[in-house]
Amino acid sequence: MGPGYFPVLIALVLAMVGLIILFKSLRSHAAAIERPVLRPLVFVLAAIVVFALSIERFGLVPATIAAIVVASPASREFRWSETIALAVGMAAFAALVFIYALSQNMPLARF
Amino acid sequence: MESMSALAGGFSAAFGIYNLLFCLLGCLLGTLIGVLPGIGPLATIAMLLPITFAMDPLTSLIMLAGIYYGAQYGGSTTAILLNLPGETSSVVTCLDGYEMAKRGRAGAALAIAALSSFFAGCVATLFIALLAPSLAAFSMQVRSPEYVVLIALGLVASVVLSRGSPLKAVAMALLGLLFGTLGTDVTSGETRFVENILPLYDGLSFVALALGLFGLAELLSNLEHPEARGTLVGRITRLWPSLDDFRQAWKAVLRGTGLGSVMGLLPGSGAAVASFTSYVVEKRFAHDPSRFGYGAVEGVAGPEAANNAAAQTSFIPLLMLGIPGTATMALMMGALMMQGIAPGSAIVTTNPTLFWGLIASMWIGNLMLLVINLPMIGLWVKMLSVPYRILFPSILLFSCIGVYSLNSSSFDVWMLAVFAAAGYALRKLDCDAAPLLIAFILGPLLEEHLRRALVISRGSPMIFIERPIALGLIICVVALIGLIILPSFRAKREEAFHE
Amino acid sequence: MKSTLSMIAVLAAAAITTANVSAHAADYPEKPVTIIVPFDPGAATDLAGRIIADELAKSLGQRFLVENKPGAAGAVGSQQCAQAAPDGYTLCVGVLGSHVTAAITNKKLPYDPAKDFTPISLLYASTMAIAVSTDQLKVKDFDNLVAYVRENPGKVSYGTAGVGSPQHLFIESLKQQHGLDLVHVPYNGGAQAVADTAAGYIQMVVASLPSVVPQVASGKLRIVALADAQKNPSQPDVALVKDTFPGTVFTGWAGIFGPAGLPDDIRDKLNEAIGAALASEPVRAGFAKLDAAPQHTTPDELHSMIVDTIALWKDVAEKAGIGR
Repeated sequence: MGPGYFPVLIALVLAMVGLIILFKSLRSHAAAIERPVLRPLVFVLAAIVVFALSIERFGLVPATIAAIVVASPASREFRWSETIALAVGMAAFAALVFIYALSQNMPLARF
Repeated sequence: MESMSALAGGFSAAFGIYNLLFCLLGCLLGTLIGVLPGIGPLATIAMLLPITFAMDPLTSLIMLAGIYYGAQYGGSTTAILLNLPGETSSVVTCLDGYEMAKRGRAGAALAIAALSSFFAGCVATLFIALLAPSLAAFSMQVRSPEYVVLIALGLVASVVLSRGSPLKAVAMALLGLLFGTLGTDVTSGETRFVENILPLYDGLSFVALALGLFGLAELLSNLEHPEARGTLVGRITRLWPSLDDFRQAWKAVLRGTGLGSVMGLLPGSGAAVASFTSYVVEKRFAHDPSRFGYGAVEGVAGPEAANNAAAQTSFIPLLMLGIPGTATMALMMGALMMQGIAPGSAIVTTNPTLFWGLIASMWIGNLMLLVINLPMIGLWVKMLSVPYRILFPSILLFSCIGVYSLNSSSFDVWMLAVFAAAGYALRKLDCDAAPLLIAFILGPLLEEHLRRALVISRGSPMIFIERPIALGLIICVVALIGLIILPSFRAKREEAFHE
Repeated sequence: MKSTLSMIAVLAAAAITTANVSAHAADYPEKPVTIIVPFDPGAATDLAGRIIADELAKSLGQRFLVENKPGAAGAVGSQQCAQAAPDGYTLCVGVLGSHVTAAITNKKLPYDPAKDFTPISLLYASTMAIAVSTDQLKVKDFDNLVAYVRENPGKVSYGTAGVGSPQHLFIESLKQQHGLDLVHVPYNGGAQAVADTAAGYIQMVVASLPSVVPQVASGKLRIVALADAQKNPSQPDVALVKDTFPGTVFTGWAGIFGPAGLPDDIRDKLNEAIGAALASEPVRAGFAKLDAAPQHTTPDELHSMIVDTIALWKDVAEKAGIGR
């Protein structure tokens, strides 16, 4: 029972279950899958990626500001003034809590 | 009695100033999380995990546990006031709790919820204190063969008792198992699906998976359906329930406590299922079932007692047997193991202060929560009304920071993005991610113990029948599977979820 | 005329560059130095790293910051160090697992422990213990154990922290050299191996001394041998592996490394500072709590340790079928 045993077994059973679900869905009259709304998805994912790219290279403060600025347009009620205020406020708060209060392992800001 | 003196020792540890402080902090945070829809204790505990490394293990466990059962208390607040379940187990509280609020009886509902939870919490803690030592002696006998059967039991139970289509639950569990194989295989030392990417050697980041599939998928869903977060805040009239309420509710509280205490012990069920079950039971036992859905006090008292009792006892399988019953327990287990404490058999003997201190703090925590929840309702509701457009970027930010700080790994943050997208897709496809998460944790454990048992028995599968406990557990698993197949059981389960 | 001029030019250039380099080393460190610890905060190596960092900060006048970069049993952090700029401002702590066995068990490892690092100095050596379950094996010492194993081939299981771990390779080398038939049971980390042995589920475990001591105290384990070169003062009655098998010594260790190409004087300055730190009271006291014996070496000694151990165990791994 080597390392490949379980993954192959699981994959086979999963494939079978997938087929059964497929057949059942073809026969049933269940509701259609909801259409994805792109706006929140794109901005939220982009914000996470921006954070991942900037946290080590630039530090917590820039990464925080960038993430919040990129994420905020995901909501339809987005306003620039609030976003900037939130970004700066959160950056300060996060720096205080994570780096000063909790001594976490991340750079504050570097250029 | 040895356990009484140990418990006394636990109380003195729990009364230490730091532990009290962090217990309070945990309870406050937990209540906050429970109150805020869109955040569950899972996400916050995941977020706070890295921070707990700097703390003493008992203190961190007290805080995390406080968050966990604190969230049960807080979840009922928004469920009653806004018809918004802060927690999956509070869904049931919405049904009659909100109806009571609509009739101006929000105060009574909130008080009954808090009091029932407190009672259940105390009883469950006593239950743990008395039963745990015998479980400890017993669990020294629990080695790899028994773990295999127990984990298999857990996997099966998590599928059976999860929401929605059972077939999809099975598919999700299988997917979780598959994700779990990614990384280094313990028994052979080979890597699977890793392609020489160093950060993947230790497998996928559990926190990124949990936060992405649960927290962020929920966040995306809320952004798509802003109307689902309606923030009407009604007036709270009298704060205290009437004598009638107490008379109607007390039996429900007792039944709920018993039910929750037992269900919390079963890996894979936990608080959510306990509250669903309690609601169904109360409806069956009521003199006038038609009151249910229109503000029946038992519909609040029973489920609240059940979910809090389960929240307490679900620590037993975690601490004593090293088996996480729910996804949140899996996180706690991660927290313990990262502190270098292996939950399981020996914990009562090797870490008595940890164990008894935690139990004592559960009782203290319940008391704190009662005191917090009653007066602070006004404040919590204010925070609820923070516009989501400001709330959600903050949630997102803390998720990213939390995931990064775990391993100082930006790779993990990328994974968070991947899992957020995956979680979103799963919601669209109406697939419950809970079995995936549980299988992700349990699967690799199952495989490791299975192959280790076979190595030690030199390839003989008879080991599972030769050891009495393993044999007994196998019988349980078979019985459970039998129950699934029985159509009557399946219908009852569907009913409980659709009510 | 031309050749004299060019000779002067060359000499001048040489003088200037040498002056630069010495000036460089004399000022080092000019800003905070990062020490990458490729393990989780709270692990023994991490704690030792922090103790040294504090001491170095005092003697060299700049902050020495510990950055934890766990993953792949130390490989993630080590790789990051190997790829950093060799200016002396990024260093790392390397151990037996990350700088010896990683290369043996993973042929596609993205760094070469012998070539991609500048060894600076050893930090400490730690004791490895061989312990048996008191329930399962009634053997009193290592000789008895060896005799028992010879009489019962394939019956005794031993647990380690994982396939390809230093403990695994060590026992495999014993098996091959002395014809012992033991069955390997790998675990995810030493703690679980110790727990299973204490419960009597497996018979033998090879782990660091501090991890078995609590179980010895509770009577569940007996230490039959230590793999050090000399007797450990905290366990004066326990035999050494080399008493039964001459020349066989196995210790865990940790050392400080920089990326390859680190200027020699920065390296030597660090080596000196580390030597002083290892002799200082705070470090001695701190290390003693971790069962880490402070040990100072020259960069070359550290380098040969790595190269020699790799050579020693490479064949063992091949024969035992370990490594991909």
